[in-house]
Amino acid sequence: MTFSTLTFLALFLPGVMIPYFLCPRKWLGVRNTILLITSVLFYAWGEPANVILILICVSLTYLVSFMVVKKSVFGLVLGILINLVPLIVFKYANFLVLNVNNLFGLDIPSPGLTLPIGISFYTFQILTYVVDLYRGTVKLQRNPAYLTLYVFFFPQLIAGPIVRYSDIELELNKRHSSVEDIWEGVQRFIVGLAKKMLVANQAGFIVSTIQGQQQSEIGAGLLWISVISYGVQIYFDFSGYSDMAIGLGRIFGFHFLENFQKPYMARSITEFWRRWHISLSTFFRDYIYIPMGGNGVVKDDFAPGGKRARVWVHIRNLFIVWGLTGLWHGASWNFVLWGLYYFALLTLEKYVYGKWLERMPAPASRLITCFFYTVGWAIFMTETNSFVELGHYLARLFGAFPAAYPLTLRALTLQGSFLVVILGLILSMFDTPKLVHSLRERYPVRQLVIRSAALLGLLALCVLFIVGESFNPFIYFRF
Amino acid sequence: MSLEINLNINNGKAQRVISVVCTALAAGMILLGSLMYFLLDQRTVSASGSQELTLLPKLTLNGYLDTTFQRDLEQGLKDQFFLHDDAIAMTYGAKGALRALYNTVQNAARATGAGLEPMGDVYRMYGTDWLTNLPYAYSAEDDANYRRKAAEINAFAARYPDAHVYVYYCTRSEDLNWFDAIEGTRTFDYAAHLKSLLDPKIGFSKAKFHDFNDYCRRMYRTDHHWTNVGALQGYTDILLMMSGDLKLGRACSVSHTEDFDGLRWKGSRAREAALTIDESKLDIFAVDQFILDDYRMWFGDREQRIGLIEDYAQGYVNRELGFDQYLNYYGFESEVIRLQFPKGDKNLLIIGDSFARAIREPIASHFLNTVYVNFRILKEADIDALMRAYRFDAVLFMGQQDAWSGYFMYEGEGAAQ
Repeated sequence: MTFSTLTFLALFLPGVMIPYFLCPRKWLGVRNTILLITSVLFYAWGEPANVILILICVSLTYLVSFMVVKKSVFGLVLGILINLVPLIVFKYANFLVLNVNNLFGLDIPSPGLTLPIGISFYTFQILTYVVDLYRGTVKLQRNPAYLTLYVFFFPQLIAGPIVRYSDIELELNKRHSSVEDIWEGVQRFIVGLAKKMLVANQAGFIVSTIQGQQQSEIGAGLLWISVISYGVQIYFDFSGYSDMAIGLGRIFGFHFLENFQKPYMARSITEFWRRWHISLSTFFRDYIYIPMGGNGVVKDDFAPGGKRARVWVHIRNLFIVWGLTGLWHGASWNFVLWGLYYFALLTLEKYVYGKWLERMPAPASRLITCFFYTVGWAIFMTETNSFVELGHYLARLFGAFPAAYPLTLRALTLQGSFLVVILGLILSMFDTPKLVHSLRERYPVRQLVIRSAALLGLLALCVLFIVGESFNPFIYFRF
Repeated sequence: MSLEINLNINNGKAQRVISVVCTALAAGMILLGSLMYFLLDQRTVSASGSQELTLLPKLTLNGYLDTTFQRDLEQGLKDQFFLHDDAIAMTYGAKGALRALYNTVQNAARATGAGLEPMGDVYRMYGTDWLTNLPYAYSAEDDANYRRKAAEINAFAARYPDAHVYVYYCTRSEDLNWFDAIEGTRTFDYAAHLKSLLDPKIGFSKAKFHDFNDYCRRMYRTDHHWTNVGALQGYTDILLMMSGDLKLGRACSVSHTEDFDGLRWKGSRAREAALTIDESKLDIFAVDQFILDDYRMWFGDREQRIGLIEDYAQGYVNRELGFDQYLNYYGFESEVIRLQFPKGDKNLLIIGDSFARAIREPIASHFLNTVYVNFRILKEADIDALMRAYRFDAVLFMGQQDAWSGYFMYEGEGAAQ
């Protein structure tokens, strides 16, 4: 079940909220039980069989956590393996078999495993509990229902943000949501729903329509439109989903951290990744990059070979982290290449042209950064294991193999959706005008009324779009 | 406008009141929408009658486990939503409005440049190698002929009520009103005029070009016919038009496009204007090879294939630039043609012009017998005798502008009887 469906809005949400808020505030245990039961139902709606998989992972983690809390390295390794093995098997077994077959000319049948929804997200969430418990930064959760609720909690279960146990440890046991909190959560949810329904879906329609054509009829211009639209789609889709998750969390009294901070406004790739999918990049930073030595500053630069060693440690760590980031997004070589593309860009930015980029005027550095992440999306969206195919696609993007009579937006009746993409680009690449800020400050109540009314109108509009539109995909679902 | 909204609004009394009211309103909206499912009867057809609606499914264990229940429930919730028809109309309207806005901006930009540039007796379009005659203006004589033709088709449809009658208008460059804004011309919309004159029961469709680039893909530069791409689109349009009444199955697949080693040719517009054009700027003659079952073909009484299709396939190709490849490849229908395919169970009559040649076989593959009569031999062919002999399930009239302003089935005033 996704949030942008009538099943969720008309049936599930009232089904959770009515009993939850009818239950007295002091009965937090009952409220948590309601959230746990409904969250399990939420996951079971789309993947009835895979509920058992998560329950097994959570149960084993719960048992192992009693060893981990005593600083047992064995317990830590076991806790990590319990959760990582299913991820590796379900996500990478097919990919592994394919590559072994290609490499050794074998014909091992593919296991044909389907990826359980949200496995990449909830696996990382459980890992934060195991590792932080070992580090002593969180307390042992003795109530298995609460640990299960942490993993299953429906707002963040299937597409993040990757909520660390430490972020909601206290709120599992004590939280409060006022009417203001609820309304803020509802507003955030509506904004996310509008991002998804009104912008991401239109951009996605362009992408899928262009991809559905004979590729020999697609010129470089249309190909760029497709890639740019994909960039708009993935941002509005994923950040919209994060907004909805954060908003839902807020309604029930949980405070999730932000997952996006206007990434397309970034002036460098380093900044881009500080703003994009923050919960994932900080996970890799805190649980892999820094434990491996980070940028190597702990080394003594004045020791023999120290500075060079520091640089190499840094580059090695970046390579590993970005290779893994690529692999996390999908079991396909284009994702690995996408990760390594960012490794190359970040390394170059750090050691070659970063300072030069900083000194440039903001519009120029934004434009350069925009070019790099857009090419990144081109690599990302191909979803192919063939480097030849990927190379051919990129070559066409830069004008090779031109189409004799290329299709146009009009021929594909995509003009309206393209205008929405332009609107999406403006919204994502530019900050709120100062005039709006000053008006907000001068007329706080009026702006509050206008904004609230607009958001309610937006909610109605989104519902009508859910009913009227048949195209409603969700990109990050499969990751 | 920021989408990562700042939620740290001042915590005044107003905020609390607004929060209470708005939360109540949002909850009310959602609950009202949910309640309506229980209060209203389920519908099987939309208000316009154009869409079958999914009913809310009953929960079964198997349906739940294989997730068909979940899928059907979502579709049922959409279809049974109390504002379902309004939602559909609104999304269509919003998309249409955005499209119109884009087109207005693009047309305004285009209007600043020259559209038609004289080249002998014809005109180059937008400075390209695509040639055209001047756009069709209104003519009282053509109007009268169109009225007569439409009356004839209406009377024909009334005389044979068991047959589904369709009209397909093959749009040419002269039909396009793109040049009106630039050249001050007033293109008359003969397609719309014809449609308005026909009985509403008669199916109508036409070849649509979204923009000039689309035109270039689908029409030859120096000839007035459609390319293989345009012909394929025409075939799809016609299939779509007919499939509302007849179950015709899926469209035929194209195995490959054959261009006879880059065969260049000078089309009708260049030939008629006696233009000398550099060979590299001439069209390549290309045809789509459809995957078809074995079929039989009669030309008059003789069972034979017409045109030079088989010669071309064996490499016997006349490469003179002035050789009319389109006519010679497909052949001229100087007699009634009949095609018989093994799988169909319905019969079709096509009354058409040269545009139909390029899609004759793929259309016929959906029928048992297809009889093809060119407008030019309409008087010689006894249509009523053919109707009696084959009891056609469908009759398709298709052609370009002049096919509708002449070539009548019957003579004199009694034609429409």
